[in-house]
Amino acid sequence: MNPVIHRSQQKQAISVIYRVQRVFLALCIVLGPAFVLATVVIGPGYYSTKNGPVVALALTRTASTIQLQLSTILGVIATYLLPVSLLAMAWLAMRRAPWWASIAMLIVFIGVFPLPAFVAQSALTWDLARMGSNPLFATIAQRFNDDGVMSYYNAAFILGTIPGPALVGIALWRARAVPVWAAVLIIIGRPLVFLYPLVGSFILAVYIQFISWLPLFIGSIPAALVVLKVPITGGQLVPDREVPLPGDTGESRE
Amino acid sequence: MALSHKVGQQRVDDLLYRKLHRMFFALCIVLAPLALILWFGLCPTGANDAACPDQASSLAVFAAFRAMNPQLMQIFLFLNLIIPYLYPLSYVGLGLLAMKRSPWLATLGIICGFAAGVVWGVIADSITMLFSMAQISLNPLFVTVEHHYYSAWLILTFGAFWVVGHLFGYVFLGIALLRARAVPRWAAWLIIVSAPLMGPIAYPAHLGILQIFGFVLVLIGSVPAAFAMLRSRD
Repeated sequence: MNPVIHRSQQKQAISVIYRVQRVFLALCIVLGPAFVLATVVIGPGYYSTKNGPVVALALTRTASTIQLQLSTILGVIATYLLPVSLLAMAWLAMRRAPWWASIAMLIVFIGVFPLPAFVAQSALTWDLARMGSNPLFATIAQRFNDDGVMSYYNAAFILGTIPGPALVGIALWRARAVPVWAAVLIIIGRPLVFLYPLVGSFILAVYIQFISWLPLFIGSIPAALVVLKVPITGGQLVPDREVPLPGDTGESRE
Repeated sequence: MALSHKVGQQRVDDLLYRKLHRMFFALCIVLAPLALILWFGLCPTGANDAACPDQASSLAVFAAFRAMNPQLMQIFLFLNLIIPYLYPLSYVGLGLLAMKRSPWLATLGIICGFAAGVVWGVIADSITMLFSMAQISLNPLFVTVEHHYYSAWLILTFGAFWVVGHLFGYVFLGIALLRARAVPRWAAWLIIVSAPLMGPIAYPAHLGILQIFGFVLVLIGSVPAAFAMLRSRD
């Protein structure tokens, strides 16, 4: 085969995979928060003004099977999409705000990677709920939740899902990688859960959770659109230097 | 003068964060198989348990968890804590090494490995659950709970993701590294060969030691990959 034709075919194949990667990342950016939103709305554990494993056990007993199945499926998908979503958004800011983006990635990584542990925890709660109301089940749920590994994951979850997205938003703002309003929504969204101790006695957890994830979802849409425009070149951990981001003047802001 | 100083400083910062990223991925590439070797080696039901724990429906599993040396158990639990972090990123690191010259295979390898690596959150969760129940007492009711848990479609799905994902991930990434010439040929071949050893051979034969041996091969193959990551300019 003519080497010129061979090389151009090879180039075309490479550009296709990078386009596929961009579309995949853009989808993950939007669908990650979207699936979390859906899980929060449907999950029986979010209906109460109180929380904890024993309350979750009681709520799971009263929930319908369809609701439980649906929240489990959504939760599984969310555990895969959310880490990619937050990391991809931070990656967008890497070129012009590398330190903010790196710190955001680290915090997100620490907090969000063990998310499936919570899906499995819900599965255990569901099993225990289906098996009856033996008081030993409440002991199991409580003991399991208080164990060192799960206590760590609970703490990491708070770190990764509240300061994590806020740092991603700050990095995006500093990098001017997305419109300012989108960065602001990403920054302020999740910290709204800190309102919960103030209003938790009369507002259901599901409303606060919904309100806190919604701005992240809305803010993620422009980020996804930017990812579609930014090329990924092989092996690079940062966006290509040749292609400017929106508002780019070419200099680092750090 | 001031401008050139600023540009120079920016370049140093730029180089520093890239170096940190590379070191981070290099560490994950090496530490992930090492952590898995230790995890299988310290499995409370024995190093020869290919699935650890293989007999989740048996009271013997709880007895094994109760009987384990407390210090070793703490190390085992710590490994459960860190593997969900190290394992998915080790695949991402290997994939990035081959991404430039073998992007399709590298992408497939990363997807498979990430899908498998994320499952470690579930594995850590189930191990913690076994440990928590074993601490309460040796109650046959716990066997029933475990039986329900391990036969749930969710856990079976995650199990399938783990088995298929980590094996295909190593095969795809091994071939990608071979094609990209990102590591010496022998290192790429070690990663490829580890997959059939850990899956189709170890599981039917119920030989956990083959899992350990497989991850030893991955570890040996990963060392040049980690060095290549450290030397990488991208």
